[in-house]
Amino acid sequence: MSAFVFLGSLLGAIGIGMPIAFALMVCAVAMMVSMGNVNAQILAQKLIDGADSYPLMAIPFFLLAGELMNVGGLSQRIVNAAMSLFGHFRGGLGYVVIGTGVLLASLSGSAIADTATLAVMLLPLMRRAGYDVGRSAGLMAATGIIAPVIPPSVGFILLGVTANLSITSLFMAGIVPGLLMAVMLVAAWWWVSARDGTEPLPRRSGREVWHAIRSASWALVMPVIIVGGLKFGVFTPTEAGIIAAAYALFVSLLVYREMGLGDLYAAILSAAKTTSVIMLLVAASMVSAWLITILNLPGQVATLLQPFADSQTLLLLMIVVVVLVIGMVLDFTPAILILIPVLMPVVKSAGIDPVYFGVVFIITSAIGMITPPVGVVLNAVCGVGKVPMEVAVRGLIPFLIAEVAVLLLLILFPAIVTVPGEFLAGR
Amino acid sequence: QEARLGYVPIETHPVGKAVERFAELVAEKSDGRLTIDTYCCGTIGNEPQLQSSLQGGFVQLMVGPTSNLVGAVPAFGIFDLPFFYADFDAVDAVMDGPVGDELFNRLEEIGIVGLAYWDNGFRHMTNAVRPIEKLEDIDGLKIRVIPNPLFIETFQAVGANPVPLPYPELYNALESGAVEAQETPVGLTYSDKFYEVTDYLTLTGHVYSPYVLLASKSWFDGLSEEDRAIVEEAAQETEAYQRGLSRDAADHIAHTLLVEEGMEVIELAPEEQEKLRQAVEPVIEKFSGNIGPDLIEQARKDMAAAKSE
Amino acid sequence: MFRILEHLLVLGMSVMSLMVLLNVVLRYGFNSGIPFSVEVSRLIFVWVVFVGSVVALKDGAHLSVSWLIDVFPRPVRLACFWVSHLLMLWCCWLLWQGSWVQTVVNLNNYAPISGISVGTMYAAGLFAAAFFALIILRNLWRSIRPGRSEEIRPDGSSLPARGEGDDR
Ligand code: NA
Ligand code: NA
Repeated sequence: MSAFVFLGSLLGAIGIGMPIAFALMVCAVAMMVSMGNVNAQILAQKLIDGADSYPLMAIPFFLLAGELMNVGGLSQRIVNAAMSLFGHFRGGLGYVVIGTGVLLASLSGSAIADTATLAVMLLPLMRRAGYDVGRSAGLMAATGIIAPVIPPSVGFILLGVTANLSITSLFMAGIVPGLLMAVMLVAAWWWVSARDGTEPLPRRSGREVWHAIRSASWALVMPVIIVGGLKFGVFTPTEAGIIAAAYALFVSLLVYREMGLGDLYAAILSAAKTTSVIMLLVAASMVSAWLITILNLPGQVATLLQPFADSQTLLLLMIVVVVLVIGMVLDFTPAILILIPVLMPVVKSAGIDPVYFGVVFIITSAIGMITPPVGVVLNAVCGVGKVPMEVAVRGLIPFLIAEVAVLLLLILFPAIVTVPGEFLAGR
Repeated sequence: QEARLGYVPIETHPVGKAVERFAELVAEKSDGRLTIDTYCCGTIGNEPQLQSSLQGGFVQLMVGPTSNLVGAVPAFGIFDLPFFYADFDAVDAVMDGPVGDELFNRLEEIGIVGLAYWDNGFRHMTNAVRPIEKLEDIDGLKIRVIPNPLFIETFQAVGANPVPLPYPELYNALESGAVEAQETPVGLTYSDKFYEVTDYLTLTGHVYSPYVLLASKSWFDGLSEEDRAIVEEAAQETEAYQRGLSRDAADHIAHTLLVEEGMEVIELAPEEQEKLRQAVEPVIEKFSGNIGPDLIEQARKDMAAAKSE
Repeated sequence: MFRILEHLLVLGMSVMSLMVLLNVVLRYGFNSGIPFSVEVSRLIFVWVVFVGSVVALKDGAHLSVSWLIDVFPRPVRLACFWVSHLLMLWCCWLLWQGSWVQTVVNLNNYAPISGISVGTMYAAGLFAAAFFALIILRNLWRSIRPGRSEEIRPDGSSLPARGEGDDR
């Protein structure tokens, strides 16, 4: 019964166009009405406490680092380095996209920012070199969603706080699956571009390659600092965020010298606004999550999923299908915040490793960012690159299949996530 | 009538077991008229949040350590005083005597009713550097403390280098060596696996902060006289059960389970205990103003009476 | 007005970042730290979130789903707009009431190290409730103001529905 109140009020409020953060509050109020006691303090206290979190302060810091990387010229140099390495292969620009994407993913936690960077810098080049525009745009979208899987990742931070899991463990467990996504994309690109007659770029001289890599090395050191610092426990994820931001600021202001103080103000403001949008969602979801707990919604969902509970694989498949469908229409952040409080208790009681599930869940909902009708990463590519949506979607299909294949692999062989994850996290 | 009770430890912790017993007793005594839904593991809020919810009246009962109450009622700092309590008899004399009553009275002003003092055990130090057998061994040790001035100054007074950190960051900080030592009751050392990242447990017993079972005053006052009596009775009956359970468990953990996990367990010699006590004397002096010299005097009297019995 | 809020946002973000950074540097570099850093930076963070949410509501940057509502004719859209805004207004009223009680209850509850009243954190809810409500009322007024209502988006903004808020 309360499951219907929850779903009905939430979907209804979202459906009439209410901002999702407010829809979550309305949904919480609806649950209170169904309990026969509307208490303003539950709304206020849980909302404000929801924003009061030290671990979540990693979000503004990593967002700021990402902003600074873009205005400070770090991203540009990464593209140059990838270009000098892979540009001369057949279909080479595709590999440049994937290589750049992985590097950007290891620097920033934001799929949209990474995808927009890829589209701004590489889509015009691919268009000029005669690549199929839809296919290029599709590849960029599919590459962009690696960002939340490879650390740092705002998605993992949210998931860690919502489900009370170690953010460091989640970060470490995401590395190998994220690289696996890249490998599958390389395979898919190799397969589709084998029949293309595009002209490769001229091979760069050894000197040029060396120069490009050296110039990017300031940016390339950053993932080493972040992952190394977390692996060896030098700092917590929150501290890693502020160190990444400070490092990006240092390189932008003092090494590359492409940024002024006005850019700094704009970058801080933009990071603050984006943080607020994410955090109001987080805070509002804490209100509804509190009522979900009081009304024992996870118990009801567990009963619904009972027929699948005997097989972990079947249960996971079932959940992944549901999340993929929900991901078609719901954004990444709300998907995490709405679904994790309901699903995590069910998953835990079925004996599935919560960190492993977290990785599978993040990849699944990241795929939601490139599936129509609501796909923010797809929107970003089409908007930046002026590509019609249906063209990009058609070009996306092989890469979407590759990434769903990654999901299936992870479900069938959980060790792909757990073994390297536990090794990297040092457990 | 339904009431919600929230607490942060897991269900199998002595607090969890006692909460179950309390809920059963209330249901039994009221013939099911009063039911208590219990929520473990912080699912309906951490301790400061629960306290706020209690004052707001939308969570009716909670269990939490007294150190969280200090921000609202500074006199609860009496339980954070270092080396103030010699043993469980001393602690019980204070909690069950006039001091305990007076502290609960002061809670009423902030909309909270104190129902019972439960056990959280003495706090002991564990560290990754060396066995601590005497005062000098503590010198320069980077130890994580509760972010609270009394704890910071206590550890400065014994020569350590206190690092205030939020509890959830503690394990990571120990693992990386950002801090080398920590101080919690052995129950937490065991359940949160600090034995994996520290090697030496010294039974310093430097602080005793009890758990308290608290009720929202607006809810409690709204109960019939009979039901209020039932809740108070159940709380009293659970008190002895919880203290026994917790103290036996602490003993077993310190001398058996942690040893099995490879920790070296060190008892402090009485003369070293005394040196520590003298080192922190100025800290007690300094903070007794906040707490109230009368209360401290009363507590000393009650402890002396208990000793002479 | 909103310019001032933006300046405050940048100031808050900067202070919060510097405090956390300084604390890390002091801890690893010099074996010391600023004890109140965690408490104070968290308080600033809460205020940044709610001030920023107000600015984002004004800009129409909060995430919403508009593809469903966009297929309906204008009168339906307008009705949905009003229903959703009245419900949001109700939430603001509840947020105001609840934050008021929580602010009062926590006014004399002091953070252990900095000694700042915990009520200052819950006061952020009062600020947000008041400003959310003002913006919602402004949007409602704009939707019935003659001649200008066609600008209104279903999520209540009068600007394009998507902004930087889509980032993650
Ligand atoms: Na990333
Ligand atoms: Na989608």
